Amino acid sequence: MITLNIDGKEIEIEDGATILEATEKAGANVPTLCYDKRLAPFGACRICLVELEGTRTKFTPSCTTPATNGMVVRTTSPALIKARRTILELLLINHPLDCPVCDKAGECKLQDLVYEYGLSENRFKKDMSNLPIDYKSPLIERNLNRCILCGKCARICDEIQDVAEVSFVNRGMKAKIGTDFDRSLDCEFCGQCIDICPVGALTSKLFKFKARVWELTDKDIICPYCNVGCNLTARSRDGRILKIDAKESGVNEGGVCVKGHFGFDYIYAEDRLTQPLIKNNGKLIPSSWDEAFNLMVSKFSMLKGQVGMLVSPRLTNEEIYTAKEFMNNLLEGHIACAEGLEHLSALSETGLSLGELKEIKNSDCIMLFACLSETNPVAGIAINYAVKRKEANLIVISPIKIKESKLAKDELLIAPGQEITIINEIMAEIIRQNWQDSAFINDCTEGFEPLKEQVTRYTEEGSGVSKEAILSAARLYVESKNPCIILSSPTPDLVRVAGSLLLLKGKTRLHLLGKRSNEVGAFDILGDRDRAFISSARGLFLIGSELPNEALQNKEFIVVSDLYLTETASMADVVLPATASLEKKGTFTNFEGRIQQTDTASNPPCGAKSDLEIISQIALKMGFELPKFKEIEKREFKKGNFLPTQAKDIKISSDYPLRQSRFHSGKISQRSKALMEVSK
Amino acid sequence: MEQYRANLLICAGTGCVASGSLKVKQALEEEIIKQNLQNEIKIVLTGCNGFCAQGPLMVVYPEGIFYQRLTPENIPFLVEEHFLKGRPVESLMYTPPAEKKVIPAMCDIPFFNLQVLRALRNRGLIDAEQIDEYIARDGYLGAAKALLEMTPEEIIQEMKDSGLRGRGGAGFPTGIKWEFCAKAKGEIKYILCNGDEGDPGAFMDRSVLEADPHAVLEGMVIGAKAIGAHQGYLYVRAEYPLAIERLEIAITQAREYGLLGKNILGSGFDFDLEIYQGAGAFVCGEETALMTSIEGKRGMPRPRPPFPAHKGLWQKPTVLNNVETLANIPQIILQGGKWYASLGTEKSKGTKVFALTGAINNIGLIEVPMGIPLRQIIYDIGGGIPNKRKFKAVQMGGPSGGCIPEALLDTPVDYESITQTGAIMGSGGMVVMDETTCMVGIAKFFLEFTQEESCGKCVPCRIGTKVMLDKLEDICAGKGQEGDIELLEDLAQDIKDASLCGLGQTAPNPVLTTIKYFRDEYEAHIKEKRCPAHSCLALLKFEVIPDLCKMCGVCAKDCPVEAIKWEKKQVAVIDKEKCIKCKTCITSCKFMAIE
Repeated sequence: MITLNIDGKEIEIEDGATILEATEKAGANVPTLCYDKRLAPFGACRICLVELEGTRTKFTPSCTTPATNGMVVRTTSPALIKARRTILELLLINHPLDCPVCDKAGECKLQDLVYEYGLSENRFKKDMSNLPIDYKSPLIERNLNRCILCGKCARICDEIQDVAEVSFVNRGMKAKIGTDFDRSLDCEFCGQCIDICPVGALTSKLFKFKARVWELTDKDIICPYCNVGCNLTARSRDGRILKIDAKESGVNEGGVCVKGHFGFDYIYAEDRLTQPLIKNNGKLIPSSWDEAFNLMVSKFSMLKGQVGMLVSPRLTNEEIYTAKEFMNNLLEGHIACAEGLEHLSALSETGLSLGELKEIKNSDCIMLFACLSETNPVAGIAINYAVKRKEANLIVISPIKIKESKLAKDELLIAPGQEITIINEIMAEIIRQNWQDSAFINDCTEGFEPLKEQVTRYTEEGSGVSKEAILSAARLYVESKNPCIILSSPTPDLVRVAGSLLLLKGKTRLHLLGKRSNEVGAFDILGDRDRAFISSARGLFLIGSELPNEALQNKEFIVVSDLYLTETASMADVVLPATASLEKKGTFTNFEGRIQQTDTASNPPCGAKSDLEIISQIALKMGFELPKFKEIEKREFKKGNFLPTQAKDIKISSDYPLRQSRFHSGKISQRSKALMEVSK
Repeated sequence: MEQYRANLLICAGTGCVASGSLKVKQALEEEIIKQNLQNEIKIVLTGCNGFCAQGPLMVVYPEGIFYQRLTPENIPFLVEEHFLKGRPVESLMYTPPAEKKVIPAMCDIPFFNLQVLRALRNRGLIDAEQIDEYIARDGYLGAAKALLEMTPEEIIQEMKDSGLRGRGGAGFPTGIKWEFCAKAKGEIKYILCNGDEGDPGAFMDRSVLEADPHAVLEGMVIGAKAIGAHQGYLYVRAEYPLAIERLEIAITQAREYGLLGKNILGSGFDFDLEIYQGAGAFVCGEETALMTSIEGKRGMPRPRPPFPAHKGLWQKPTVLNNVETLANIPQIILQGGKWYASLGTEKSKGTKVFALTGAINNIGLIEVPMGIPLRQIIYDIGGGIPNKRKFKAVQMGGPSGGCIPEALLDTPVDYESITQTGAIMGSGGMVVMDETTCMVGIAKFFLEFTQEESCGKCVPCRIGTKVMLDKLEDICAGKGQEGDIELLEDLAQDIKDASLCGLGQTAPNPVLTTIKYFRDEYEAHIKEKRCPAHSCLALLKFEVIPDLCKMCGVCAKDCPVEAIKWEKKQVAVIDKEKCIKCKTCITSCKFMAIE
């Protein structure tokens, strides 16, 4: 810790902090425009100047200068105020004062500073730039005339997102932020540049002329897409979400991807269900909730013990728990998650616990088996951070080049489907070299000998990767202090071998990402249950779940609760209009096992009910009050199990390797006009 | 080695090549063969001789006779007269301005004999593309001494003793810079050479690189040993193709001789070099921008701290030295820091190279001892102002520097004294201006340059210089207003105090020094709408001032559209209807009689 004096106040702060951070701690109000704590120090706007006693220079930029012990800092003085006013006057010579039609007005940093510093006149002549406004790029509108060249968009795009779609071009007053040859944006459209832009140069097209920001109601939500569980702020007017911003706090630390940022409009799709439907003479006829409930009560009572339920891993914990209680206590039937959760039960078998995002950021060696920029983009940001800022070694293991390949220290291009083989080969190398953490293995694990016996049989280059490359990767891995292994929606066998590889190094957490927002919650509540009951059940209650048509044949009674009339829903006897996660309160458990609260950000369509309401109300009609959801304790590592696993029956499906679109992946994203626009 | 009766040293610096020295060389070769003298006379292409204005140049040894302004047509006569008949050709020799007697020997010409050559000690003497010639002149002896006999601490001490300060302009003591980097933690370190010379009118570094590339390489080898670097980069602007070519040749030869690469001279020390070509951005001469550029990114300055000695190229401890600084180092190591410090003033030791240009007779490259008065450079070495014009100011330090007026011409050339005038020593550009140069116009010229070359990153430099430029343009266009000078001064101060890098911090200097010394010119523009130098087009009336007109009629003779009426012993009259405002008359009038 070091001590420095700020405006007469003694402040203690950790070594390595900047003067700006110290002034923040001291409660001094030093203005900034180009500073963002996520980005490397830049020092372009010069508005954060302070005075430093005992230096040759008159002013010192506080955002780039490290605080040192004994510094005496003044954050305000007539000279400083004058210099800051000059900076603002200079910025205003070519910044249009079109605040009345600027979507940023009200939360524009320049506007606020000009107001704060009381600049009603400008000593300098106006010299407006007249650059064409980019209306062509999807989702993002770029008005470079409003740009103050703080460089934040270019820097977040490069440093955080590792895309570098835009950068500074030209010099002098002609300097601007541009793409190569001024083409339209063709990037990942995460839109983080919009959030970070201090002025209205970058705005969301979805929000254009929709509302003044001071009319918006902000709600804290959890992203409805993958299970990174990004903390977002949904901003709505009159119950309709108009834009979504990333929250700086929370697991994502300000990060957001295209789906979370722009893909919220799936809830406003025209084919949303708005009232219950009951099948009559083969046709689904609109009905009242009472009629639907009554029919369900009578049918379910008849079929007690023979109804099966599937729930979507996008439901809240409260809903899944209630559904489970409903099935256990009232219908005495089976319930399972609609999507396989075998990878999570495989993790349980290994004894490992769930890794956290911040561990990726602080890791010095990351072994990556998925293109996170496609599947879980915000987790990908953590990799960029670790590699670019902390010089972590990245080992990419993939049958194809992926975005992260260019950051990789080692890239192992495996034969298709040989992920398990290569991990076995790496483990074989580690054991052969005797690099494993034997003390840990002895004290905290079981099953090392069988593993050793199995993997050391690997001598052929079955993975298609050279021995030297395997040795190099193995060495990088064992020589690191905090290695991470990252998988996204893997097979259970891959989880088993990756778990063994971690245990060899004495590590107890696996970074296991998934596609659906509440996979981990569903697993915690339901476990990975066999879905064989579907075929024998006489009745089905499908919540946000779909089944192939064959599985729906010869059922006596099918209820589907969903947002849209899916193919499965159209085969049902009763269809219930459900609400989407953006329309309800509840909790989701993210990939780390963190239980996070989400809030109602949008009014549901009139007539729709949340699945929690639906189940609770049926239960009440059946004369039963369901117990409330209690948080489930996070699993902690107790003992590790080596699970020798061999690659078997590799079937290469036609879509292998799983190259996904980062813009859409399923039912809900395909109903987002915004996402469909960029995926064209 | 074969012996020749005469050695003809033809300058092959960029200046002389541009004025045709390679054609002269070809003509000489042909003529010498024709006269069957090829076994008696040897032709050597050297680097820049320095007296660029007189090129193409040739020095004939052993006599040391200096021939100038040669053309292929002169050659047959010259060869016959001088090399066959033994009669040196006076008509091709140098005559000082305003004198009639020729000076045959180079060593007698004031331009040369007042100079002291250290950084340029091999200029015009060796073939820059032959490492043997460099070695014959004690080349790589300094490196050998440093690698085989000295510890890094001893090298740094020698550098500190020499008092050598960075010749790129800022004047930071080289020894201390090396010491910082040597002490910085880290296994990988870099030494870089800054050859991104960009000041308008400056060509010192180019000449050094062209004339004596090995001196720079040797300086880098010594520096590498001192700081513990094993890799170096030469950042040279792509506009210097000849310098790059000679550096490439030099690096290849040095590698072949084991003077670069693994285990240099058996010392166990490894060091190698790469050339990185700059793409022409002036700001890349700024050290952090230069490093960013080598990293493959857009060359924009980074905030300091961290200083490059701790986190420079690729975040590793790095030393960046200017070309001229590096060229001095071998001699310092060889002859000792004390020897180097024996020349110069208390705080500025050794010599400094200047590119002397502008309204001066002897345009060229000079090396003078620190402490020499400006007046001596301009009048004795430079030969004074041509066309009987009056001296007005000398601009030093390029866009970061300032204009020094007549009254301060006795200022000694050292870092502190020059800084006191408001100019800076700079990298060595020295542009002389006479009475026809408008000082508002010159300030505008430099602001145009800095505005164009500002990287655009920080607000004061990007927008502030534009606002200043707009004001200066207004003033030159007769649209100046009361209060403009004060506004310029005020904004200039904010730009200096608030900018990120040296470019912005010094960009207002040309404006501030011209206001300081030539405020009356600014006021004449603003209040009287008059340009005292008769230079700003918008303020010219194109009228003859009868009191000043000497009735010589030169203006009428030179006018391309016959708009000037003149008769003997009559004041000329300009017909404004016919006049196309080309300013030819104003340029030809020696008496400033047309406004």
